[in-house]
Formats: sequence, C-alpha cells, structure tokens
Amino acid sequence: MDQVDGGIGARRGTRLSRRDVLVRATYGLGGLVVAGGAGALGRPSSASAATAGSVAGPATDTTRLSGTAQPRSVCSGRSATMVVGETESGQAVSWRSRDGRSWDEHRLPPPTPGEPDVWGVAAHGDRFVAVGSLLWQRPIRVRPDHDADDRAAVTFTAARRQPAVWWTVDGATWEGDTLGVVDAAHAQLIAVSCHTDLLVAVGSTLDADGAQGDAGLVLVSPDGVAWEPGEVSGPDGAVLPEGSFTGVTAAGDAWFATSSDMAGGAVWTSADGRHWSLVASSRAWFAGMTLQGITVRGRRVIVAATSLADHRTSYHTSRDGCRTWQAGRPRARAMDAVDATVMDVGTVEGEIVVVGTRGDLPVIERGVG
Amino acid sequence: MGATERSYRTIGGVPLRYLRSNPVLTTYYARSTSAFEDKLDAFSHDLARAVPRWYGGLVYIATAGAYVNKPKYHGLGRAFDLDLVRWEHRTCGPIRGHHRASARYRRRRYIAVDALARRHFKYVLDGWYNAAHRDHLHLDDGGGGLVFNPGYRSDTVFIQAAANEMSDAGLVIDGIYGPKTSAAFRVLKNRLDVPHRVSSDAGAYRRFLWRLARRALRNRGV
Repeated sequence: MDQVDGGIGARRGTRLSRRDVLVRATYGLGGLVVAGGAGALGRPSSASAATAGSVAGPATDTTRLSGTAQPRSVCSGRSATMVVGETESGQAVSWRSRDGRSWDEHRLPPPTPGEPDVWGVAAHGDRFVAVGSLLWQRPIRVRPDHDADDRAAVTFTAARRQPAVWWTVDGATWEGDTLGVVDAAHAQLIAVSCHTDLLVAVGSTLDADGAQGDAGLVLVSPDGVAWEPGEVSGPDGAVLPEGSFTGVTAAGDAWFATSSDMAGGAVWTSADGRHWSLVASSRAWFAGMTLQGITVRGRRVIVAATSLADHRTSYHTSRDGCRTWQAGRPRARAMDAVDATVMDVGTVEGEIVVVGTRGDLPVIERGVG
Repeated sequence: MGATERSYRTIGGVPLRYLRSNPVLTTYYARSTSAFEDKLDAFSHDLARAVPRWYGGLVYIATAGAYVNKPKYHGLGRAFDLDLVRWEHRTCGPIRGHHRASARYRRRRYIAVDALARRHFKYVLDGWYNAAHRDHLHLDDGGGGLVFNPGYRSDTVFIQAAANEMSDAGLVIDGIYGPKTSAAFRVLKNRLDVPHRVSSDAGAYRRFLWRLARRALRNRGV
C-alpha cells in the first residue's frame, strides 16, 4: 500500500504514479480553496497544487487529486470511501480514504493481458466491487510492397472489448476477471450498485467495430463472481444510439438507472434489478443531456446531467420514483464551472458527492446537496 | 493530453453550429484534444477546397457534439458528430438522412463528405454502418492507421455504398468484404487511377478518397 498523508506535495504536470496520492484529505476537513470561485481551482498556482490549501468553501468541501487523473465513480463502504478512475497514463486505479484525511492509491490490474478501463464502484458487504472493461488489441503492421522502410508501415487493429469486474476485501489489493456472459463482440460496464446483496452492473454493448456503444447492457450477480444478463425493454428494445447506461442505484424497493445516447438522457426502472423498463417521461425531461450518474439521498433520487449543446452541468431531483423531476439542486461550487466535467454523483455519509475534473485536474466535491 | 485541452467555436475558420435543441442555429463551443482539433481543421479545409466554385464558400458546419463526458472517444476528446455541412449554395445533411435521399446528387454529396472525413479519421460511422448513424456522421481517430481496412465494417459499407452510387455496382451493403465488393473496389481504384495498395499505403488511400470526393461533389460517376 502506498499511503501518504495530505501534506505530501503533488507534482503537477507529471504522470501520476502509484506513489502519487491525493493532494489533500477532504471529507470533514475541507479541501482545496473553493471560496474564491471559478478561478481558484482551475488555474492553481504551483504552491496550491503542491500543498493544497485547506480551506473549505461555505457550502462544499473540495479535494483536488494530484496529477491529471480522471476520477470516475465514488462510493461509501463500511470502513472507507472509495473512488475509482484512470490516470493520465491510462492505468485503472482506486483511491481509498478511511478517515477523510489521508488517501492511498492502488492499481486495478488487468485480469488478463489487455487494457483495463474502470468506470464504476460500489460497496458490497465488506468488499468493494468495481466494473469496467478490458480491451484486447492485436496490432498488425503492414508495410507497403514498394517501400522497404518500416516507418511507412501502417497498423491495423483487431480488437475485442469484454466486460470486467474487480473486487477487493482490504480496499487495496484488487482481483479482477472478465465476464464471458455477453454474446456481443464488444461490451463494457460503466456503473454498479448493490442492494440487499444483489449487485447490478450496467453499461452497453458496442457496435461492430467497437467504436461506439449501441445498446444498453445489464448484468446481475448475487456474489460478484457469477453474473448473468438482465432484460431491458424500451420502445426500441435496449437500443441506445451512440449510447450506454451510465449509472445505477437502488432506492427503497426499486432500482433506477440512467442512460445517455444521441438524443439525450433517460431514466430506467426495475423492481428486481433484473427486468428493466424505460421511464418514458424522462426522455423529454432529459432531452439534449448526457446523464453522468444517479444517487439517492433520503427519499430523493438525484441525477447529474451535462448539456450536449454547451457542456453545462445541472442536477435534477425526483421525489416520486423518477416520474417527475425538478432542476437546480444540489448545487456544486467548484464543479459548476465552464471547465468542469462531472463524471459521477454519489452519496457519502449522507452527503452528495460529485467527482470529475476541473480543467484537467481531478476533483472530488462533497456537500453539494 | 487532456480531453478538453482545446475549446473552440470554429474549425478551420468555419463556424460551428448546433441545431438539435433549438430551431434557431446556435454557436457551438467544441472541446477536444489539440491533436483532434488539428484534424478537424484539416477536414474543414478539405471541405472548402474540394468543391467546385458553384458551391460557394463554407458557411458553417453543424455538429451534434464533440467532447462528451461519456465512455469511448467522445469522452477522450477525440470524436466529432457531424450533422450538416453548409456551403453558400449547397448543403450536405447527414441529419436529414441524405445518404438515402431520393436525389442521387445528394447521396453522392454525402459520399463525398464521408470520403473527405476518412482522409483524417479512421473511424467514420455513417448511415450505412448502423441505424444509430442514420442522422449524423461520427468521426474519431481511434482504430489505427488511415488505410482501408476490410476487417472494419465501417470501411466496407462505405466502399460498398460508394461503388453503388458512383459506378452502379449493385452491391448489397452488408459490411462483408467478399469477392463482389473487392471487384467493385478494384474498378473504382482503376478508374480513379489509384494504386491498389490502399490497405497498406496511406497515401494511396487518401488519394483515392480525394479523387472520389471531387467527382461525387460534381455529381459525376466513376
């Protein structure tokens, strides 16, 4: 375990190694200065990047992670808060905090040779389960007949993307596996949630060349090891043009998931986590938006969305099982800027947390709702 | 390399527009990597210089989005969805389903824009590729070298459609690169005077695409 406390400086502009860690503890203590508004976080001085000032904004606490990693999902477990994402160099990693003051970073190894891509994480009893995909590529170099110079060679790429799952008991050592339960040549998982011991992971199958998502995918598991496909029924079946399921959560006895495609976002629901149907009214509400994630706080279901037209992030709340929505709450500060990109929304210790990037800098903001 | 390291509202000096959420054209602020924007600039330049004089200048390019924080290349700032190209006196409208337009000149114009995009982006997903792309062209620079790859459905359906529209090949557009498609492709290359090594010679493939596009923009067969 590579654990460093918040006082260790980050090296801005360098690649994030396993020994690089979150710049500053966040939860409960406050993180990087956000009271200064939009400019404070986006263009930090080298000093602030290195030492991470520790003043909380009046409404939220913000942590900027070191390097230029992309945090993609956050969840709260029995003993720790877990974030997963990807470093600038393309490594799948997790960041864990037991106390909100110090964080440690760990790598999620590829289950088999290939390029891992991690997108979601959930607590499952004493464990954490992360989901994503593994890309297997076989480059084929071809040299023109007339040209003996190898620099003229071009590369074909034969590829296959398979859903992948990782789990950890100690929050540090991850084991992974690819899931062979999907018939499609290319498939990926984007989000996962757990409720009453049932794990539900959502994502998409990809088109013939593996270039874009084309249909929603749901996998369910009682133990995180054995997975089976769920069923998705919408007006066009599970078809999501250039799209995917992007988030999943459980609220009471119901499950809810978000999707995004060319037309915009939508919310789906399931009574058992296995059989899913579209909440038809959500199509109109979320037209022109991509939905980054979904979470529950009390009786409220909260969705983070981004406008396809101008990239602005907005938050939407439902109190009636996702039938109707209200916009405007919660309200982030640091992550409500022109150069902010929200990747997920979650609930940690009763507070709404968003993760994403500000500029190219990885950020976690807590207490936004 | 950040996915959003560049923010811009023109490509190659041509304004970007968004027309999906509002009946009024709105300015679109795209975000992407620097390298990807450079490729878009080059594509825009091709769209301007490949057309005959009667098209007029490029007025705007409508997009359905570039950087979108979702998985795959849009999330990497390396993808662009093309809805419409507007010259002063002509339009190519993937968003209007021009790949299936009743007028052949419109379908050929679509082939031309498709071909010019392939000179810069390996993955160009068009209306023949799948239903998801019946209303836009998806461009991204994944997928390896800029050569023709018969193993890619996206490459094969394009050649099949181009052979049908430009030389009446009568192919079934199924994405399978079989003997009929290979023969029709050979005819196109011969008539455009391009070497056959388009699967290994990026220069030859780019030359093929350029010559194909210029003829298609003028509604001239091959």
